[in-house]
Amino acid sequence: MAGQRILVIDDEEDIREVAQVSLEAVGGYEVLTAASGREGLETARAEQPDAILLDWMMPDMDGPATFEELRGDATIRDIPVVMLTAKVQAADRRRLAELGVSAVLPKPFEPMKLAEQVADALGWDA
Amino acid sequence: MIGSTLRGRSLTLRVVGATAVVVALLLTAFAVFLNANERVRESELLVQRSTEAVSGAVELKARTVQLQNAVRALTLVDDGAFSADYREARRSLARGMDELQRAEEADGGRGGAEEEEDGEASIAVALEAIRAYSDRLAPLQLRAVRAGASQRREATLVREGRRRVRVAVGRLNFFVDEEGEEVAQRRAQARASAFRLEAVGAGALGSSVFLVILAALYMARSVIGPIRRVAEGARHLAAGDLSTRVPERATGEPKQLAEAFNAMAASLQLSDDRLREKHLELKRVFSRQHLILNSAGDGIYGLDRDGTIRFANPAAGQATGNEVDELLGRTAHDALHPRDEDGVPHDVEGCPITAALRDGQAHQVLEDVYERRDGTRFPVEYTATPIEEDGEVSGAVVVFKDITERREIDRMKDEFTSVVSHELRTPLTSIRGSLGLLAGGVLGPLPEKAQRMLDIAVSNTDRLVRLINDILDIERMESGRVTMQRQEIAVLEVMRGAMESVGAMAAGVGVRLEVEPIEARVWADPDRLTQMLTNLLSNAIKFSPPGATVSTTARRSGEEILFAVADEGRGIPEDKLETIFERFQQVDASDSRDKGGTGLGLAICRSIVEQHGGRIWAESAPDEGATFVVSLPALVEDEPPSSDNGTGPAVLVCDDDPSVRRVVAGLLAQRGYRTVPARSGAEAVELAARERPDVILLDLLMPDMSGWATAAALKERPETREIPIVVASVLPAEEGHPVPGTEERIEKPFDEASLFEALERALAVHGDVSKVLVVEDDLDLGRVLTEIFERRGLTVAHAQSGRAAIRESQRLEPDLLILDLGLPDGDGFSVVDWLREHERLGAVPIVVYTARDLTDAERARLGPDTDVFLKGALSPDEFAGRVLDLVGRLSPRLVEA
Repeated sequence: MAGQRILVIDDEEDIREVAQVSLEAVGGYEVLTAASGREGLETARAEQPDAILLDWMMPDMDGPATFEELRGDATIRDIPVVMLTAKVQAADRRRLAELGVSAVLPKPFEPMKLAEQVADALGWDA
Repeated sequence: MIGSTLRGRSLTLRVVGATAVVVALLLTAFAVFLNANERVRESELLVQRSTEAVSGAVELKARTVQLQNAVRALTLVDDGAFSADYREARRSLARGMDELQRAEEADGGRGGAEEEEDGEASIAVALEAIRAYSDRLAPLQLRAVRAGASQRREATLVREGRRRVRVAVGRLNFFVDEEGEEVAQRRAQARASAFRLEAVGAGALGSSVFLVILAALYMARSVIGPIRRVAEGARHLAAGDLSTRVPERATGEPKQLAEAFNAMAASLQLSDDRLREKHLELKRVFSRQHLILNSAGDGIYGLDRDGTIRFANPAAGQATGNEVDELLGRTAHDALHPRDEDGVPHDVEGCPITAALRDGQAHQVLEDVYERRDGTRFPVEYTATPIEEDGEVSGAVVVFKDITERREIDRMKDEFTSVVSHELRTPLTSIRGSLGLLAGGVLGPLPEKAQRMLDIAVSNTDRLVRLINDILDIERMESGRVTMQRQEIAVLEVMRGAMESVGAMAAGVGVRLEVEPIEARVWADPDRLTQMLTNLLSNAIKFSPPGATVSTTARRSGEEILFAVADEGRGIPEDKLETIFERFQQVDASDSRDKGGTGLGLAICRSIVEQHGGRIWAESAPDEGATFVVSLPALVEDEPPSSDNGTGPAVLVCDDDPSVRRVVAGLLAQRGYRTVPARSGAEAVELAARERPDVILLDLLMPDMSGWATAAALKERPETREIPIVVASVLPAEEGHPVPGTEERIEKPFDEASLFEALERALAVHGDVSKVLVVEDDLDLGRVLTEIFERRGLTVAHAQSGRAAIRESQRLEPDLLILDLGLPDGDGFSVVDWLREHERLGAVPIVVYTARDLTDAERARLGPDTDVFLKGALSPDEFAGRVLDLVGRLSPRLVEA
């Protein structure tokens, strides 16, 4: 759905930028970005986005840790999370599924398809 | 021969000889002695005889004289007395003569002949003379006298007589003298003989003694000497000097002894030398072995039959922080295998070392943990090989390796791969992203050439991404670090999944996809299998001309399932059928560029297939298309069908582990429950909606759709929302995330009792409610409630006190209890307490109402399963309505009624 706000948390600036352009231009979403887990949590609390795109491998606080914090905080617990990661091992995906992540998208992603994939994963009408 | 015999037996001979000599000597001496003795006796006898003869002669002389006298006397006086004397004298003379005669005759052969004759002659003469006188002259004389013969005659006669007598006496005297001489002689002889005898005796004795001494000396020299020398030699030998030899001086037996001794000593020395040599060799071998063992980097220790460490090499000691001595004498289990985290001691029975000792087979353990002396642990890989002696297991050798480093390296490799993968993909993400956006026209249209360039960039970026994925994939698979998550999967699902992922691609090039699956299952990693099929399909599509068909089939062939992906492309030449499965191999070099392949697709497929214990190959001929065949071991279908035999409740058992399903089905069947097996969350949801089981047994940790997701899905669908769920998971209830919408939970592994308790509790809550017990002391309210329930078609009983309630509940066995806590005497609570204790009735749901708020303690006492609400200011109808609502929630069937 257009107009939804997505928070992109990734430590790589370029990736944030590409993701932003992709989601905004192709999906018509409003995109917020954060460069770290901590920053992401703050932003999430403040902005209450409709979804979070979360990178797995980040220094300091990585994806799963950030996710855990997210779930631990009542104010932002219910925001659906899509994990972005190069890890595509089934075991890892299972682990994520059990943690409660809504979907896992591989990196590199298809910039033209990203918005669609996110919508599919979250059950939004594209 | 005699000579040698003599020599050989010389000692014996000599001994015998010497003895013979001594004996001979003694015998001779004895003989001589006897002889001498004889002589002496002879002499004595002779002397005696002579003496007798002498005395006889003297006597005769006397008697002759006596006769003469008698005759004279008689001649003078012819008296009777004198006559008697004369006769007597004559008689005694006659006697005497006889005696003497006899003695002479008896005494034959004595002394010298001359002497004999003289003596004899003398006697004879004497005797004759005497006889002449006695027999003739004397009587004549007498007669003459008597007759008065002339004096002359008488005188002649007398003269004759006297002459005769004189002769006789003379002769007798001569005889006596002779005899005396002889006697003296004899005596002298006898003395001489005696002397000789003594001399001989002394001589014999002396020489015997001498000989004995000689013999003794000889013995000492020839026998005892050698014996002593041999004894001494033996002592030296015993003391260790094996070069001892004994001189072989003697002859005969002592020499033999010496020779024998020397031979023995020589033999001993030889043996000893040989032994020394062997010992040296052994030492050499041992030290070599020792060297090897000591130099070995792996820890090696040897156990005896009981598992006690008898030997350990330095590496073993070092690795475990022990001195080698400290390991000896302890069992391996004791010294090296630690207790596990819970303090449970090492399972000796199940230990592969015990197994090796028991069954005589080598056992290899790829991962285990040893404990060092200081308590720290390290991972090991070890092999236990039994030692066999004479067909029996006498011990074992364990070779172990500290794999901390290897694990570390593996971990680093994994980490590296992971990091590399991340590091490569990160910039690629940006590149692909930005290029993709540009090429996608998101940021505005582009001149044709620019578009073309960007398209190239994007497609190659894609290719690079695929390449990285494939390389990392195959690298991980072939180093064995990727564990396949194998499970039971339906062939159909895998094929469908693969079809879906290439659907768009196929459509894009106008290739038709056909699929012919079968109902079969394989034990495989679904992602990998799908990946493999997808790979094959995309290859097939790539190499198919537009309008062609790519067909995917599966069929059962004996114990295997054969998947086949067939295309109608240009085929593969025979010499390439094998090589295409290698890395970066394409049939045609130009293919890489044209078709966008990475060259690793088939290599990955092969890796996956081989990891599943299957085979993959290609069948093709140029211009006749190609068929890639994969064979995998089929899974034997041994799932028990959902049993309809039971008359009991139907249980939907949802677990991805077939063995759990089997076991539970078995348990349920025993108690008359019906089983509806579901292999996955998705299947469970479907089946639940279709079959409407009475209760669902749900596993949590399942692939694809987890227990939580399944529960959520079930609760979402109206058809399945109300079905009670019992969660069965290895996750303990406190820690494992709660599963919303489920009431019961049991921990795996569970026992029969817990399973059925939970099932019954779950069923009880949501089973048919047909009997209700109302416990209310207020008669009116009680009647109202009773009516309300009866209107709904329920059987109702009304109890007005705690005691009555207890009695009634036992009689009625209600499915639901409605209780006024405000019963007099606090009975309400006691009823609840009592019910809770009751085995069967404890499961009955209780709806409790109270006029006042409950304290926390009271609430706790009632337990979490009890529904409580305030009677408060509700009218009976409202109250009933509330109760019904509650009841309705608990029993959907009631609501429907």
